[in-house]
Amino acid sequence: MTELLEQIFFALMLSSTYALISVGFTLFFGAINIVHFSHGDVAMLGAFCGIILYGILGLAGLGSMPLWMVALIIIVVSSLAIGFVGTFFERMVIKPFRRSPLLMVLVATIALGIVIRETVRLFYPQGSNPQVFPRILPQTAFRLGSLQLRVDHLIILLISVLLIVVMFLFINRTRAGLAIRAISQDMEAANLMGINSDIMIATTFLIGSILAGLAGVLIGSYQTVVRFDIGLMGGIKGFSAAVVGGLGSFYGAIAGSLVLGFVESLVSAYVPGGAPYKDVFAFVIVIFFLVFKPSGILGKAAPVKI
Amino acid sequence: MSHHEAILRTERLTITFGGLCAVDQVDFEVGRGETVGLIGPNGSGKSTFFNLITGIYRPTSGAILFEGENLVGQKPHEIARKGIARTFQNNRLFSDISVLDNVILGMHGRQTTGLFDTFFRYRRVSSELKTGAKEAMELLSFFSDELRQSCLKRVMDLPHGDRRRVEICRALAAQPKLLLLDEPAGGMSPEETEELMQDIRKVKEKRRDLSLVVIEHDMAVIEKIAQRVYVFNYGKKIAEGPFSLISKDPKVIEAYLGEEGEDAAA
Amino acid sequence: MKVLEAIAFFGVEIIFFLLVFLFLVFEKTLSIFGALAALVALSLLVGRYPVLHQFLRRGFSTYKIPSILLGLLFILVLPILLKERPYHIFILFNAGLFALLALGLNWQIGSTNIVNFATGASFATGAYTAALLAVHLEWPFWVLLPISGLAAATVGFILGLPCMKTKTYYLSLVTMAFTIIVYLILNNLDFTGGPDGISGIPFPSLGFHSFGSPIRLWGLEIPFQANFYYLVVVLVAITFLVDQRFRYSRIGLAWNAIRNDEIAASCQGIDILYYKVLSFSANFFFDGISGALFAFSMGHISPESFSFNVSVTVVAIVIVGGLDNPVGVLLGSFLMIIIPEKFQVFQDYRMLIFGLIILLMLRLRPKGLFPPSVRTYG
Repeated sequence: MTELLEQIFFALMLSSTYALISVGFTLFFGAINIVHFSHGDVAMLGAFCGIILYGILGLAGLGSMPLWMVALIIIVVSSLAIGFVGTFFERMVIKPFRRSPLLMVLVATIALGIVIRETVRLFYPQGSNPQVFPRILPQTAFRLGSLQLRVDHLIILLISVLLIVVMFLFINRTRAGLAIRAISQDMEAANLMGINSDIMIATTFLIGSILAGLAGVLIGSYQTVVRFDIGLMGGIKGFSAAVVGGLGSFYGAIAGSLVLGFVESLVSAYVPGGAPYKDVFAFVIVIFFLVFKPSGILGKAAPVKI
Repeated sequence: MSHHEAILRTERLTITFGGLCAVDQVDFEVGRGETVGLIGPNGSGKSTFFNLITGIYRPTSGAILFEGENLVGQKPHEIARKGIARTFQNNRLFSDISVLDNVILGMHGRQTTGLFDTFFRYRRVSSELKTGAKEAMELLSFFSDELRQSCLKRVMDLPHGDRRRVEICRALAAQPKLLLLDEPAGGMSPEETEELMQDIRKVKEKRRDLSLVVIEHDMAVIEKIAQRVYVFNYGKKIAEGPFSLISKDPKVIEAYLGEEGEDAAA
Repeated sequence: MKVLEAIAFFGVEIIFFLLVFLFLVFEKTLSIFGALAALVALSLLVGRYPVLHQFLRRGFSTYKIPSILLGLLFILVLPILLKERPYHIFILFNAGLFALLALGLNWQIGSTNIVNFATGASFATGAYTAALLAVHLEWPFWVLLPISGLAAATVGFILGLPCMKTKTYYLSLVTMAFTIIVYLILNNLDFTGGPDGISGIPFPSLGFHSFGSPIRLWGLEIPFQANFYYLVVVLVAITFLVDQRFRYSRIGLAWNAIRNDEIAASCQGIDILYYKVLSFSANFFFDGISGALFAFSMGHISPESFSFNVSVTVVAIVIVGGLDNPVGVLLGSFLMIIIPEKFQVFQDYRMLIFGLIILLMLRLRPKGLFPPSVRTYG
């Protein structure tokens, strides 16, 4: 029983990191109706940014800083940096295709992902090899009743949940968030109401990319090893979570991440010989949703006017 | 109605979307060779009614009888092959291929060659297409010579007025028994509308037993071509009869004026 | 057409082939680049000056058979000219394999607007079917070729069926997920050899001639890669003819209708489900054949060759070459496969350059290098 609860805790943490990415997918889909394929690779950049920052902090002789400060700096700076990088990509690669058929944006973001991955592989020293992610979070265990849980998992879970709540409040309680919701409902009407949709779209990407950067750092922390291509799988998983929950629905992204996180961790823990197939399970679920219930668990099927 | 046998009849046809009843218990009839008008304020369910008949939507309840057979539950392509063709309010042509290809596609339901023929009896395929092309050209020139000359142009390169005619050609290419026209005069100038009416008259002269149902906002068109008129409002049929009668019907006037009255107040 | 013009026309054609040959044969990066630049300049010139374009068209329609024969001659003779460079013949063969994949995919992306990212999976189905049956049951190559095609077509049928209601966008995503699933399964299943794959696939043979031995003709010895090269040329020609048949048939028209407007298409009597599933099966059939040929040419296959990257590459070829234009797709295959091979310097940068080229093409020429032509009915 304790083992099950500990697995559940792990699954929660896994889901929360997926949620950071899938919330971005759902935001982008809601706002401008695109699936941003390289979003996962943007998260990967967050992880690499964290590694680089750690190196810089070390070089700058700040090794005497307490761990929590190092962690804080790396998390905050990486997230913000990737936020801007992600927005930059949107301006360069996605914005030009705003009026083009969806196929173009799809392929463009796939190509962008390739460019990002290959650039890291070719230009980061030893890029094709796995890189060690620094231990910025304490890997000690703590007891909760009869459960033995890891501190870093707890921290990751807390930070993710916190940021997601913050983002939720931003979208639903601020004027900027209201503007974003307006453009996702009807961009033309929003424009006519004086909302600068261009800036709001950039803001959306800023938020989404900050969360992705954060996800990269956090995932790097608990996996301790990152590769240039983790973005591909991570992105697909985050995207799958968004689809399962319902593209465009914020709660859906959360729900979908939970489904995927749980399926993945429980399958690898409890299905004999299942570990290498955990991804297969996840994808089969995704295909099921895409074909039979594309509106996902919580999304609403939009009626098409004929 | 006595000398026309009904080719299409709906009985208490209903469809609800979520909580909204878009078409409400509608009884409707068109006779063979008859031209029926369908009018009503925006959003009164006219296009939805067409979508029900052509199988794009499935009704919540009621029956659609075409030559005695109930069409409910059949797929659009099956219904099309039975002899119902239509045009769309917002002109759904196949824009990146040629005008000629579009009209030939109208004949798809009548054509018979398939996968086997394409690889083992290609001569049949080739001659079916060539025949189709000839027929298509004739249809186009029936409307205007200019149209026939631009038959190899892509539809997206065609002016708006011509596009509507191509859509009608495409529908006629199917040699339908029932033709549904959804706001054919939409966005047309008075001259173009007059030409359109001439075109419709020409078509009816050539094919006397073709039944027509025309949705229109332009009352002049309805008055001139429709033998009977149905009026819809909020999904319900509120009047039925010759134009002269229904145009004086107080319910009809209220339906239209009511809309105008609201606009005036706002 | 006057005699001088005729000579000029054939002269252009010969120069074109010469440049292609030089491009293939040159070793130094600079010379390769020079030949390529000359080819590009030629194409740009033709694009820029309609007079030249008209001239070429007239020449081609007047001398259709001779110019095609000339091209065929060039294709046939190429391996002989390259007999000292077997690797080059192999590259050409590779381009042919991708041409098979791309021509089929064009029916989906170009003609029907179904953006299918499952080519990696269909290619794998053909390859593994052929490999497993060859190694375990010792079935001959010539039987396995169509069987692999049918196996892949069946997979296409199964994949296409549930997709009838799925919107274009979501359909693409399903095909992507499918490809990754297939890759994961192949990589983990013992039956398919896991990450090591399957080895020991024998060379095909035609009568007494094994594809593993060089061709001895008129005292010349042409490397064995030429066997595969000639076979792929024949298959590409067949696929091209199939494309033309589809294009000028009720099927091709129906596909184009679906591409534009599914609802209007169904109102013309077009059974959307049937034609969509048909596009899947037809595309996958030729992918399967390409896969079988690939397996037999390598002797050994592993999941690495069937990843999502393969799907992306073929999609890129179709986009770059020109949606719904088979000649463009052929040229696209040639460009996208051979150029990275020639510029050895850039070997490692291949995928990066790919990605950048795709982005560039989408921005500058989204319809591809060559636009589709209008059907004329004579």
